[in-house]
Amino acid sequence: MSTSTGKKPVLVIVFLRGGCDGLTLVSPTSDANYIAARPGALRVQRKGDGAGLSLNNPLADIDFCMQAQLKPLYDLYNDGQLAIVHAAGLTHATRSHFEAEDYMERGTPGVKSTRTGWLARFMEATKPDGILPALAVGDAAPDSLLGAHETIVAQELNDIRLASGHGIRPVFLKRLGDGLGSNVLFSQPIARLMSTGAALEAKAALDEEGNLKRYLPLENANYPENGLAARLRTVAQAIKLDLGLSVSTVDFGGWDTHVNQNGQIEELCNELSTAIAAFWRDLGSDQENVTLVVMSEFGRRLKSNESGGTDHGHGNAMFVLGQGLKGGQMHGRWPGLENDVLDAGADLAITTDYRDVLGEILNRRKGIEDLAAIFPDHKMTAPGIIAA
Amino acid sequence: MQATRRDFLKGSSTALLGAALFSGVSLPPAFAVTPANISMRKALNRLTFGATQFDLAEVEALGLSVWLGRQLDASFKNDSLAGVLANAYIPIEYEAGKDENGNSWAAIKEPKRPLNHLNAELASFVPLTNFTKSFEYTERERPAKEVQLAALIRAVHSNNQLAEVITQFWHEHFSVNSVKDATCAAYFVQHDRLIRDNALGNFRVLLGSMAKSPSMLAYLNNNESRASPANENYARELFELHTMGEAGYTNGNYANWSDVPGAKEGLAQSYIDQDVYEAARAFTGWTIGEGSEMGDGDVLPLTGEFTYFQRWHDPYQKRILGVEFKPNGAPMADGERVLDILAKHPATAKTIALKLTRRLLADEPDEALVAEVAAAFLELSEDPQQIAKLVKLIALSMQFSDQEPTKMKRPMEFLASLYRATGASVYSTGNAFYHLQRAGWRQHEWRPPTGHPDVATYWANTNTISAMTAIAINALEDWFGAASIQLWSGERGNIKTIGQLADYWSTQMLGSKPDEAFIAALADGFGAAEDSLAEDQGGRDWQARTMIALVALSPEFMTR
Repeated sequence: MSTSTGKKPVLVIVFLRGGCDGLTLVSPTSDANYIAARPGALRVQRKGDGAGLSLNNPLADIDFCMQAQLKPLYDLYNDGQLAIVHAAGLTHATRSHFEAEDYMERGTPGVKSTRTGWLARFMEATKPDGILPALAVGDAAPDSLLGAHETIVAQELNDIRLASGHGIRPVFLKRLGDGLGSNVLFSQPIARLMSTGAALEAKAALDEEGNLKRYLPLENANYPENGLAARLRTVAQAIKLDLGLSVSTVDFGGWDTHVNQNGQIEELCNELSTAIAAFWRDLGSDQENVTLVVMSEFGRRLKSNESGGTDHGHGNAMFVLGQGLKGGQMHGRWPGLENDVLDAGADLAITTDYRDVLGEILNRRKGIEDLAAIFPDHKMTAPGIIAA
Repeated sequence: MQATRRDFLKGSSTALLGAALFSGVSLPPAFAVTPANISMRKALNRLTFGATQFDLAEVEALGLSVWLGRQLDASFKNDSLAGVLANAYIPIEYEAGKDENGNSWAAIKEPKRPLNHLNAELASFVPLTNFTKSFEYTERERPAKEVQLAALIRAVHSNNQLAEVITQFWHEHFSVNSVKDATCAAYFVQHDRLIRDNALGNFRVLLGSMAKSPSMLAYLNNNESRASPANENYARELFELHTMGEAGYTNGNYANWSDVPGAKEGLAQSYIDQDVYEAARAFTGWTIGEGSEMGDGDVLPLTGEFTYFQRWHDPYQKRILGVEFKPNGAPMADGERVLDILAKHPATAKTIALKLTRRLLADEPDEALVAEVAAAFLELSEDPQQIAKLVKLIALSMQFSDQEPTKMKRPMEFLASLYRATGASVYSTGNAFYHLQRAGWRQHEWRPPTGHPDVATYWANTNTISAMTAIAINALEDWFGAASIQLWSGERGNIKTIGQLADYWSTQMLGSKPDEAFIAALADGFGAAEDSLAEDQGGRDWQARTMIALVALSPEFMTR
């Protein structure tokens, strides 16, 4: 499957680690139960300083607002490029970060023994060629890529080039190839580094010191100075170098707001929205090839705790950014926040399985017909995020 | 094995332990009776931060069992380490400035400030968390940074290597991101002391010290937890990460406490969210004494230590794992009782046994050994040397001696073992922690409370391997600024050719000489003959460092 520019469609997953408070990101501001459950400081307000940004086309007959710091994403929503799915998530009852992430990223809720991640199974199904089909920007690959041996993990693309800039680099490459290349632990990553490094050198220019030339984003991109922006900039660089990128993952931690949620969440929302908006501007004409998903392992408790924060919850909001979406709308079904419809009497219930959101994207953007190979034992119901 | 284990558990002297373990005819030859350099090297690479020639000689002379006894003896002298720590420094430099509270500070430039906080009194850390006091933020984080450097120095230079390995293990198990905020940072020296004091002791005591560690209280927010609703953060990770483990969490299977097997008989076999909710209530009021005004004229003590604030506590009856707690218990009794239950729970025994054997043995350790360690954990639950005895049980097991080195060294272990094998001396942070971070290792700064993963499926990725290559190449360079190495002192002064250089370093680091092809490739890379060495000092140094890096980047050195 390719787009009108002949390039491969790229899927970018931004995972908010720690469980983001979807009831703040996309807030049911006029819901009486929401108002009753939280003090003013832990609610998005409809008026006054820092008031939320009221969304067109809400899910239900209540006022939904995005947190004020999400303004750049709000603009993309109003521009029809961003879709919101609310009350989405992992249907399993776990409220453990690590178990929820295990289930979610393996794509098999309730089954931890699954040895591959959902993105790895996607890679297996599509076997994308190209220099850099899967890029995890960060320290290590998330479990969604578990078992995908073609994955490159890097903080910057130059890191892919072993012993970059060293006087006798060829000797190091030979040593690493001979020594580590035949060892069961190291053979796959070493082979990947060798081949990708060589291909990258053939494709991209080097500076005088023998390192990859510094990436220059589009002038209007204006990346902010934050970690998420730096990671997304590496993704943009890989996309523009035309390396055959198919999937990329980016982690963004710090969402576990058990205390002082009010202070923390503004900064988090600011980083999230400014980084993604800059990335989107930087893509320029490549926007049409890219679909970006923002997701988290679970939402947070409706009722706040007594230390100014919220504990682990259940249902959550997801964002999908791209062209040709049914953007500027909220998708899914709002279950309400009355006590008897809450999950376990405590949390936003889930009405859209997160796999349905991802599945629709894989189907419509990546041409995957057999979604059972990606999400086994799950009956798919497309939420209708992508325009016909 | 089962029969001798009981003898072993009862025994108190190392001689007795050795005799009990090695007298059984069914036991395979162990290191102590059949010393062979390779087995010793294998053992030491797991029980230390990297085998050195010195350790090898020592363990060969003593036998593994006696060596273990010495390593696990808390009174074991360690004088040389104190000197290295006393001479270490971390540069500090900032501009004059002021903060939003109107506090101001003068410019500081101290390129060699020593690790002053390491031995400081607890009360001296309290002002660092007070934002009405004038501190540039770097000063507030300084205690954490000093512990980080001290961890590297201890890993490289401590003679108590096994205690260091286990201390690091508990730092991962009770992981705190020391720079999460000023409170976590300020009290991190104390957090480290608590772990060191109890690393080889009793698990219940260690667990209790962690529950009251100010850095932990701040990191998992229990210091702000009050009725009601309580803050669940600490209670949840207490169950999942510190004790019963993810395998002991069955919220997907049971909706009510009474459905959990064992609950109605008095002790649930696993936990669900209802147990987390109730346990969170049990720990309400457990906070830090920082002189806070609590309203109505109440002021907490100004000690920088754990304190209990009764008015925040939720006093009513609770039911945790099926155990009934009566209302209005004595101060802290609810929380202490939760810790008592968890420290002796079979699920906790399994969790600790698996993690400890995974650390010392293999990513997927032998199940029979894990079961044996778990049983010993419960049997020894009152023993003041519970943990030391578990470590010994693992290290003297046949699974330990049979195990091939299949574990990938994590970046910190790789760097420390490189410094140990080369006799380098660590004096400062330099670029060490930057490079470790590039490799994915954040010493005492791992963000989620899980600690660093301990399996190669996580670490054997392109980023870590590429960054470890960079570490091998750069760690001994002057600009790296962390450690110094004497490349040509003593016997190293006799090295006159590239061939000898390769022989020497390969033997030091791996215990065997390299093959001819390796030496030929090296000489070729240097553009020189095998029987030559660069004539200028700079050239010779570069050849030696390159040589060391090439040896370090071999599977034999990168695994343990």
